[in-house]
Parts: sequence; C-alpha cells; structure tokens
Amino acid sequence: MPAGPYSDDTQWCADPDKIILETLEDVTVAFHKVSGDTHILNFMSAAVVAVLSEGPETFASATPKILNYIQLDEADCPDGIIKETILQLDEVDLIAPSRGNQ
Amino acid sequence: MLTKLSTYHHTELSEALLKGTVEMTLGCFSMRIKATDPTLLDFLYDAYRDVPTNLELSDVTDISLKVHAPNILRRYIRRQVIADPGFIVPAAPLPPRLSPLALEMGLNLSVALKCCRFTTFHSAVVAKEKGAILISAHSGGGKSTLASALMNDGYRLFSDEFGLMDMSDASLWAHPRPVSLKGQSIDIVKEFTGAEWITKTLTGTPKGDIAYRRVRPSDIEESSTPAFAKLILFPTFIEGASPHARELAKAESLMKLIPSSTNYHLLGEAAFKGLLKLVKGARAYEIVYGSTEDSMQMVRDLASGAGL
Repeated sequence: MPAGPYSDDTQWCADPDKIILETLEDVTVAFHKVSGDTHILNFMSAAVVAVLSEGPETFASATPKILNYIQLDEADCPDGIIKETILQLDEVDLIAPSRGNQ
Repeated sequence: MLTKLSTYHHTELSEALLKGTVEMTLGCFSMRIKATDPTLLDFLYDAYRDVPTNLELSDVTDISLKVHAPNILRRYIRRQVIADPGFIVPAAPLPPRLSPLALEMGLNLSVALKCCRFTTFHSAVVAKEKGAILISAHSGGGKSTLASALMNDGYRLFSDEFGLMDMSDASLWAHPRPVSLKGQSIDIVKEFTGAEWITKTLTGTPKGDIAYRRVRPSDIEESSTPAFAKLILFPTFIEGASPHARELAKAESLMKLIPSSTNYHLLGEAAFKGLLKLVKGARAYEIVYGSTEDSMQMVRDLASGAGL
C-alpha cells in the first residue's frame, strides 16, 4: 500500500526482516514475508531495496548510494528514475517511509 | 489392515459407504468416503479397485468427503447429489448418475483447500527413477493426456491434477487418483492404453464428456516414494500448431508456478523457499503443440536433455 503524501524530506527504508532477496541467474526475486507476495526486481529496484535495507534515506541522500551500488554515473541514469522506483516499491510494500516520518 | 478395494464383497462395501467408513490410502493422503448412491459403488469398484482400503476407520484421515443429496427433498424426488468436503462450496447439484464426478470434484477441492502439509500446484506430475516431470497447465492445456501418454512411456503417475511439494526439500509426493479425461482426449488415451483401462464415459456433465483412466497397481505400490523435479513444462494445446518449445529462466518459471498454487500465499516463506529449490533443480519450458504425438516427441527430447 503506498505511503500517501510524501515530500522530498520523507525518509524511506526497507525492513530486511520482512524481505527475502534471492538471485536466480541474473534476476533478483523478492519475497515479502508479510503480504506473501513474490516480485521480480530489475537491477535498479534490487539496488534500491538493498540500499534502503541499510537504513532510512531521502530521495536525495539515497541517489548517490544507489548509483554507487549499481556502478552508474548520474549522467547515465535518466532523471527521476530512482524516485519513480522508490515510489513503485512503496506501492508493493517492499519499502515504506521510516517511522521517524510519522 | 489395508486390502485392495476390489477384494471386498459388494454388500460390505455398500454398507461401509453408507456408514462413511470407507478409508482409502493413496500416496500421501488418506481419504474417508461416505455416499448414498449405488452409482458411486460401481465407480469405486472400477476406478479405485486396486487402492488399499479399510472398512473400519483406523485414524483421522486427511480428507473426509460425503456425497449426498443437497436436501431431503432431492433425496427422493428428482434426485440430486453434491460433494460435501466439510466446508461450504458453491457446488452445483448433479444427477445421481454423475456422482463419480461429484466425488472426484470433491476430492480435488479437499486436496486443494484443506491439505497444507504440501505446497499444492495445479499440475500433473509423473516420474521415473532419475526424477519427475511437473506439467503445469490450465484446464484444457492437455496435462492429463500428456501424463497418460508419459505413463505409457514408463513413467509412474503421481497425479494428473496436483503437484504436491514438500517445502523442506522440494520433493514431490504422489497421490495417484484416476486420471480425468475430457472430450476428445478420452478416445486418444483409449487408443494407446486400451479401452480396459478407461471407465465408462460420463456424458452430459457440466464439463462435457468425462472418463477416467484407472491408476495402475504399480503407481499405487510406489506411491510412498517421492521424486525431485528435473523438468517443468507449461504446455499449450493449439489445434494444428507445429510443435515448439522455449526454455524459461528460473525466475520466469517461479513466477509462472505461483499462480497455479492454491496455498502458496497461505504457507508463506516456507513455500517460497521450497519453490526456489524446485525451480533451481529443474529445467523449464513453455511448449506449444497440436497433437499428442508431436508433444510426446518433444517431451521425450526435453526429458532426455534434463537428464531423465
């Protein structure tokens, strides 16, 4: 379920206790223990979940860490794709705003 | 002491069926059956004749199914039967001559919705010594016909309806009930197995004509031995289509199997981990075919490539 209103200051996090990530060949599969749903993640989504599992980040603070995780320069990454990915992962409950936001 | 159902005298089986003390054991599930209609008795003698059966209840069974009239009126006037698996299901009442269909549908519902020792997939499974083939398809996809053809190729039947996966190690377990054949597949299977293996055809059912291929004694005798999947098939039958196969990535195979499971979400993490083991250990293909002969040649080649 999406978080609803958010701002650039919203801190996002993934709870590693609720998610199992598994690599099958070159694809990451995520199992969400609470919903029981299984998702295939592209490399960007897998990177977002991995980085946000380390601790809460805003869109701005997460971006360099995610780019570093997938070894891309900012110039190689289309505008807004990280933000869009974070919001999509929020839709399927793989990440959520951290409690400090509430 | 379990003895083959066919060794019981008509009278004692009939009495036990009325009392609800017919207890059959098939692979990983035991079943208790209660019924009032004599049509069912004839069907049991035919389709279940080699199944280990006890006429005195010895323990709690996995499945307890009653086939009876939907109400007192329909027991006597314009008689009807329904399958009652112990929970309310929106089952359409059937005429008594179709009580075998009510029984089979009720048993399928019971396995699908009540048995959570296994992750259950809507699929057929057959196996040889080196491993199993799991065939996942929608109704009409040809899994029962393909399973029957593979039985003739030396595979033992686990089920034409359910893949039953032990979540700890992804082994597949057998529950070899009669193979359900619909429409044209009845004659196709009759041709290569011989008519003596096929029950009387039930005509005019809500699913068209239906007959059952009886399970072989060897399938029942070996039904306590599990197997590991080496090959996963997702067949599609398209009349006249030339046969072709596409190998699937492991993740694709996993995502295609999840919607075919009746209890994957319910079982959660254990089911996910088991399913991972299953897809990691097997090659998976989508196959399209236009005839049973085409599909069999293709499946033989794929099975050989998968080490079967």
